[in-house]
Amino acid sequence: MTSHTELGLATSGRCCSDLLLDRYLVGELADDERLSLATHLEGSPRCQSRLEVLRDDRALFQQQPSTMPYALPSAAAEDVPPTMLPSRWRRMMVAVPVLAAAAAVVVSINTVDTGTRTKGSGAPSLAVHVQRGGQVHQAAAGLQAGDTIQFTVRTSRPGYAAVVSVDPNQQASAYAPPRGAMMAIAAGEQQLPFATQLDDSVGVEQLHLFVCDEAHDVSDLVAKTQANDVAMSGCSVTTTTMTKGAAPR
Amino acid sequence: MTGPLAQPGAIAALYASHGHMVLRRARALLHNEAEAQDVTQEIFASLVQRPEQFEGRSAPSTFLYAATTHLALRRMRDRNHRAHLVELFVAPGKRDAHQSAHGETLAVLRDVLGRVPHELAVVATYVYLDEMSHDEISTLLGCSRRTVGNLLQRFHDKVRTVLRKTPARGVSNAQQEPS
Repeated sequence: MTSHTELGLATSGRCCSDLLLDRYLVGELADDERLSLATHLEGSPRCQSRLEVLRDDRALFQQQPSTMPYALPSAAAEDVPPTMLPSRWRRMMVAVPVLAAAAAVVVSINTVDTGTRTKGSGAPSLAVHVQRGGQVHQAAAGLQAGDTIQFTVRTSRPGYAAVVSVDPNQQASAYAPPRGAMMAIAAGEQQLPFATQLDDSVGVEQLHLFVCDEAHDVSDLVAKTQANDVAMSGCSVTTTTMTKGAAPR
Repeated sequence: MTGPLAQPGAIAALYASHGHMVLRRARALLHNEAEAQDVTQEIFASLVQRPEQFEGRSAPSTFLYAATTHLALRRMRDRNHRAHLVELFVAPGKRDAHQSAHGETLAVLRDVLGRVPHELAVVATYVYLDEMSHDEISTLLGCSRRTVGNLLQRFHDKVRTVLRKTPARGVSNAQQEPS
């Protein structure tokens, strides 16, 4: 059997590489390699967590319309699904369909810093982008159950980010990332590669943007949020309040 | 036309099964969504135009990782964004594992990455960003583990050289980094 070392697995506290986990996910590993990695995963929560992140990322990508915008040579045209767009300047809407649509109409909703910042200058901010029925709607239209939302984070320093929601039923849950460790982010503005479809609960919904010096597990952030205790050492917390209505029948 | 991608629908299937990893990898390297999408487009459009470039000698993931790394690094070089790699190397979660990448070393690495040959930047990316094993890197590069070690040694030598030559500059720049 192929050893962990031969597979490139961590031997000194380092986790499996993404390449190895990707090959596992898409079924490229030989039987012995797959078995060896599966055994390793059973004893490595860190690798398991990373695998889940990659699996979610892949599922999100595959849920999006297959759009590969590029001028194609006629000889290869038959290779491209009919839904693919014809020209390169139209960007691919693969993992970020909401923001791709928002390129035409940028929507920012009630981003409010509640001042729980604990370190650094300039509080991080959260922009929320909304897609409804394939269209991007202005913030004035409010949110509706069934809307798909996605986030852009602005921060003056690198760190780790996560967005945790408290829904109208006072139930806390992680939006981005949905599980595992917080996402590494650089200073500046960047979008989080996770879109969330809002459920049918209506009322006031809070979004807490955590930007921390360390990569906490989002389950810990959810637990803190559920306990109404979002203050954490080494973290800035910015809260956005939204009102969500019922979807029209 | 021959090769694993010669069959009708093969590239579309590859895009559906592996596109996520190309986009994610481009994002990780470039930290710019538009550029990451452009890189993803270029990778698959290139395959549409020249499917024979994937010969099937390695796994599709391995091929796509290498192709994405090369293209993203070239973009970073072309746009003087290699300094961003350094920020990735010393991202908060990696600081414990790379204690040397603090302070003046951060500034020195930024300087080095702007000057090292492409192949050294590629190896450094695989080692410090991806934390790949030398076996994985040798597969990606299509060379021996010994060659990987040699390339990494050259990269380290380059860092040491710059450290010896420009300590003051490194310290000065480091003071501007966030704590």
